[in-house]
Amino acid sequence: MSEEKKKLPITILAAPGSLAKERSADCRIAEIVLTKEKCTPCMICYDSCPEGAINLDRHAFPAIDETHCKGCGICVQICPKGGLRMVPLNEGHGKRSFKKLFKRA
Amino acid sequence: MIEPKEQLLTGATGCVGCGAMIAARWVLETLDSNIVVVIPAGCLATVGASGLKSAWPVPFVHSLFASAPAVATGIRHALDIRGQFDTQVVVLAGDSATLDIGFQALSGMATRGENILYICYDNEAAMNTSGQANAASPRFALTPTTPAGYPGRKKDGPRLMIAHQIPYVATASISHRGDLTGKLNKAAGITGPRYIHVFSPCPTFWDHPPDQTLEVARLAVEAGLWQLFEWENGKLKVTHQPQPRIPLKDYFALQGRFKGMKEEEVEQMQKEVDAFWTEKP
Amino acid sequence: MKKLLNGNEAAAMGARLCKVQVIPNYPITPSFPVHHQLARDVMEGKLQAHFINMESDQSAMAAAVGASLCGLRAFTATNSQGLAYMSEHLFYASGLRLPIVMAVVSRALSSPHCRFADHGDALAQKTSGWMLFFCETHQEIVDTCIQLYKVCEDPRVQTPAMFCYEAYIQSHTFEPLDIPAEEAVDAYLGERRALGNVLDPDHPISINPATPPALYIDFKHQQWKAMEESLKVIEEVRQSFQRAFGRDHGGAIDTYQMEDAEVAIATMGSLARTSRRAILELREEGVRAGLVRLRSFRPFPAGQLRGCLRSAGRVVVLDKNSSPGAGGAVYDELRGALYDGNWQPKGSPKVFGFIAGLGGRDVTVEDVKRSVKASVPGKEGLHWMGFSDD
Repeated sequence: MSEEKKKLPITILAAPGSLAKERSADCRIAEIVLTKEKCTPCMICYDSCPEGAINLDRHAFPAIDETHCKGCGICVQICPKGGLRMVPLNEGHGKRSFKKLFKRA
Repeated sequence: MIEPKEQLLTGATGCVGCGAMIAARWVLETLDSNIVVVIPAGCLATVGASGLKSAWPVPFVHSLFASAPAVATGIRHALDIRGQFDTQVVVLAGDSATLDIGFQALSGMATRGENILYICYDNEAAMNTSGQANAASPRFALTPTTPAGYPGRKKDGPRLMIAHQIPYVATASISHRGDLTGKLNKAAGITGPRYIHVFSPCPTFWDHPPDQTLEVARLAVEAGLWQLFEWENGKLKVTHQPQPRIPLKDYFALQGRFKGMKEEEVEQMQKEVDAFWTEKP
Repeated sequence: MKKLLNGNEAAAMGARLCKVQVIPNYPITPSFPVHHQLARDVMEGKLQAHFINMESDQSAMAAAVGASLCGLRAFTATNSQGLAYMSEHLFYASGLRLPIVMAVVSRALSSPHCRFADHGDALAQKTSGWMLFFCETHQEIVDTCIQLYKVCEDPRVQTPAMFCYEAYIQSHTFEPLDIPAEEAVDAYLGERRALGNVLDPDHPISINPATPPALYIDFKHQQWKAMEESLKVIEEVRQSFQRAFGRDHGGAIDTYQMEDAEVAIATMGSLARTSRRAILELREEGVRAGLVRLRSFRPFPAGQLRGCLRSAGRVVVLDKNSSPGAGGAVYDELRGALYDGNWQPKGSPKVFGFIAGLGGRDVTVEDVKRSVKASVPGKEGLHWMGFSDD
């Protein structure tokens, strides 16, 4: 048994914020790219990200957190200035998933 | 660098474009951090924490499916005995837990007048188990257990809660953030049972592109299918008048779960929505 | 102070003396009088607690879990259908390692629908991770409630417990009992020690997240070890209780006239009472009978049973429960204890099992004597008392 297991708490308890240290972007289907000239900035993309994967630099321009962005594109859709765009991943799981998820409607 | 407040739910394992994660994030952002969140089995209970790691920045209890409001009741009373009256007890439950298996506990909580803020994130089916139809499912929706289309009607959770005569009932949608956060703030300041029902699309099982989550929610509201209102002191106030009301078919067209609908069924639904908005409240 | 109380009143008195703080409740026959008494106690200021009328039995246990997570002493009472309905929440509470104590007024499970006594309801939950205690006297009901909070809240244990007594046979009959003084119980039990408020917004943690195969069994192992350890704690509490209150009901087991017994009656609850009388009469008739009463079914006191039954040639087990497809719980597990790999099966006693008294069927002194006399060579194995199964 590993040392970590020997020091288990008495019941199943988890530390907050610790999941943020894990990479959750393995299922990413697209990259999100900013066209800075179009950005006002309004911070709506930062607000709307389901993953909290958009950080803001000190001028409030968005910076995508590559370890947590799944490429859903909600930020792209919601941006009032069209300042973000999706670049589908070119290979593997990401490419297949993008085609599957975006072929409808 | 400004990072989202305490990296709210960052690292959580929701689907690409998850509406429930957006709802949960805004609930956490809007409410004070002096809260305890009870979440029954469902999507949010599963995606936010795994093993010894969690994304929840506040105390979070994953309760059994049927009893989140009951666990919350025990917590509320215990915190009151400890003198922690300012700590808000919040239930964040999916539609299955709210309208099916957990309705008993929700109704009991409301009947007893427990001081608990109950928020339902509604993705209109049992999503954590792959999208089976439930009491919140809309008529004609295709689900794994209703492959010919859901034959029932969406159960009206908010109006059931109005019937309990609790201090505050509201509907909201992730498409109308200001409306939602205003209602959360208002509810947070009220004592007693409060109920907010948040429309939260699910791209995975509603079968729409993941970037359209907020747009699908907006269409539901602007088509008049999901009315935004609040109810307190016996009075109902509509907080958003869709003007003009867009055609329902625009909403249905975006989602694969409605692709089995016949034209006359779309017309029937349109007539019902029209009648709803022209009747006196 | 001596008082004449019925079993339900004794249970309520125990809870009151333990100064339980949150009592989520749901009524079911015949445990509901426990709640009635506690409701009055709270209203009259005899007990400072929140008495919450929940909408169902499972919600009652759910609320007890919520309160216990916040570090408070929670208590409730139920039986049969209510206990079965709570089943999911029993596993939840024990896995969360919460020291909740519950009174169970053991009643038969439907179907057939029957409101009279047997142990089937509690024993159906024997894998739930809860400690299961069975009381013989009303005095023991009060005392066991106090002892169980002390055992459960011990950091080595931190496991929920139920104490059982029988529907009507014990719940509604009256016995004189000695009520311990409030100050004496305060001094003995004190405030809850184990697992304070884990729901602290200043130190947020997540409770009961989805758990992978890499971890689940480790938690179960911990829980299992704690239950094993609890046998030691039960014995410690037996002795400290004796010093504090002058009474000894036994630890995990209680024995009577076993020193020279040639045949041991092994049973739980009210059948033990009847057996004591039967033993007196049997001895007058030349049969050296003795009693081994299991106070604790979980943890199952295997080692102590082996020690006790070592010199008895025969064991007659009386089970007020049955498991279709197997035997009675005490019969099945006692034989398992006797056949432990470390013990020589050759020298172990012959075991005769009797399923008796289900659904409140009366078991008389004569019935017990008859069963003891029927435990002759060739008749080993399981029988149903009062049924001809040859």
